[in-house]
Amino acid sequence: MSTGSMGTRERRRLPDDFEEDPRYRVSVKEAWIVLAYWLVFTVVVTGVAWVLGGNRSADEITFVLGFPAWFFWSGIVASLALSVVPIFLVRSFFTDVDLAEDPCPATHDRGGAES
Amino acid sequence: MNWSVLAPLIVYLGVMALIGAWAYRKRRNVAAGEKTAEYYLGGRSLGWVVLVFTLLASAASAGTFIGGPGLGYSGGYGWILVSMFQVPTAFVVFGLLGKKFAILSRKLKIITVTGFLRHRYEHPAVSVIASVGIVGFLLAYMVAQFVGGARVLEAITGVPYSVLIVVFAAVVTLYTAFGGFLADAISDTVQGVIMLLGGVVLWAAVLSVTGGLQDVGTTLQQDHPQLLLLPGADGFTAQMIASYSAQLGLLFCAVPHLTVRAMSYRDSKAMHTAMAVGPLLMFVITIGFLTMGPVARLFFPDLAVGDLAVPQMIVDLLPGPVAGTLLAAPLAAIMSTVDSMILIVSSSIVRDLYIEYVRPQTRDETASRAGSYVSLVLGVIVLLLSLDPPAYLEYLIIFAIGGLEAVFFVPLVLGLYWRRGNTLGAILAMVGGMVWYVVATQWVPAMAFGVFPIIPSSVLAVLLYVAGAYVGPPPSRDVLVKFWGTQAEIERLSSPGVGVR
Repeated sequence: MSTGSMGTRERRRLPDDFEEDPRYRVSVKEAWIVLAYWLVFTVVVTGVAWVLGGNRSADEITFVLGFPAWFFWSGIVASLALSVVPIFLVRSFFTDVDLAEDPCPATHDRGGAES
Repeated sequence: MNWSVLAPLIVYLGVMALIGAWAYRKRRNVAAGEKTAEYYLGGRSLGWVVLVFTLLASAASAGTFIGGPGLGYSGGYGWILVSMFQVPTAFVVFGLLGKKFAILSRKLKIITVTGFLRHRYEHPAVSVIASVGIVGFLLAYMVAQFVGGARVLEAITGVPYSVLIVVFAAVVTLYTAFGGFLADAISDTVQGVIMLLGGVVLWAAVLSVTGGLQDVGTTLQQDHPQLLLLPGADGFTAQMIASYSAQLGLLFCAVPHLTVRAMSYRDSKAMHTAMAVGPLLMFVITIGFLTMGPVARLFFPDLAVGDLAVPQMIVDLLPGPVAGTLLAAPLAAIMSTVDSMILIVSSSIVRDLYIEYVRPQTRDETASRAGSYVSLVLGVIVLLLSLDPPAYLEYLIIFAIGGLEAVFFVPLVLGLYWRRGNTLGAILAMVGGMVWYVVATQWVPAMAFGVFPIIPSSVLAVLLYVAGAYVGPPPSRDVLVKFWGTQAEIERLSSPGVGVR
């Protein structure tokens, strides 16, 4: 299938002859932030655990406060640190929008959309 | 029977019943036309406290309190590590579906996940696959929850299994059937607070008894060294660990009883605060109970059934009434998960199957009342199935969650953000994802490629969705306007009747 040919593309153009709801752009940006956060969470927690604890023998395991060190640094410290991050993400990158069907333009704060 | 342990549990069940009665009274005063949305979504009125607790309590099931610590006891720290991936749940569920999902559900008057898919793909096959998936997978899950919880409580309190099942089912069913989403959400909040405090109190108790955890490390290293290792006996390779994060973190937003919560908040402030504090709360709940699994080895070196480790520890270490209150935490986890599932299945039957295909002109008030009756009947069905539970229960849970994720994630999230997504793609993704998942789980482990089967089946679903989008006809202009246009554009489509399709 030649999805790249101009003819196909032309025929499959989606209609865009209508006014878009500007609030959805905010939502898309925020969804990317969430996806990135999830990816970082996964990579950091998995990475720390595996680098410190992967394929060790039992007598190589060291302990911090009674936990295996690899678990302490990944499951507890890294997870806790990363569970605080959303507070800052929400504060800095998330925009308040009116969720009503048809937001009244006067109350809808458009100025903050790109802050 | 141990009455000092039982007394707090009985008080707790009484409180749940009261919440149900209160919500039922409130629901009767709701204006006509809004009753069904009130029953299934609490009138989209949740503030952040109720919002975050109802999400976390619905997400944290018996797995966090009984199954998880049990696995930690028998399989070691690897299980606790992978459970930590449920920490971002609130951030992911509300953020990935996002404000667009909340706004759309208001514009199109959507109250169920299937309703969303019906508007987006306009094809009965999509609705039917979705409804059947919801009913089948969630019923299995609810039975598993009930049975797991009742078995543990039976062992701890000495109350016969059948009595426990009947009492559980009666209380959950009554407050859910009559109180609806609001009773569900408020009782989730009570239950969530109990879980949170339970985690903290249990730790304080264990630390004061042991005087620190140094012994746990040395004891485990001598007697149960395999619990300390990665990959360890249960095979936690790096790719396996990461794939748990997909199942418990990212794809969780597509499990319908969590998805609808992203339609239920009042405003974006409630959503933001819930997203900000949710991960921290989930961290406390998860770490609090799961780390008790390996710690229990200190007190009971060789239990045959790991699931009993933490409940047994609670009863042995703490005075009766405190132990009873803490045991309410697993009970709360089970009830708060089951109540939200009963509502989802009920809405799926009433809203997505009955009103859609049997009797479209059903009045709002009738639909709301039918919701109650169907919830009641569902409670009875779950009760009957739980009295004589099917074998291989634990597999049912993982199977059910994975199955729901395989069916819903791709059509839901891609349909929300990608215009080109069309009916053909959605059907291919749902069927392909589910079939691959079931076959890889049940018969051909090689199809999982050394990770959770949910990963390859989700990748396949994405590929099928994209392929379908380019092969099949693009979505109609109506769908694009409904999902991307302003309210004025939607009303221009056809004057009356938007959202009633």
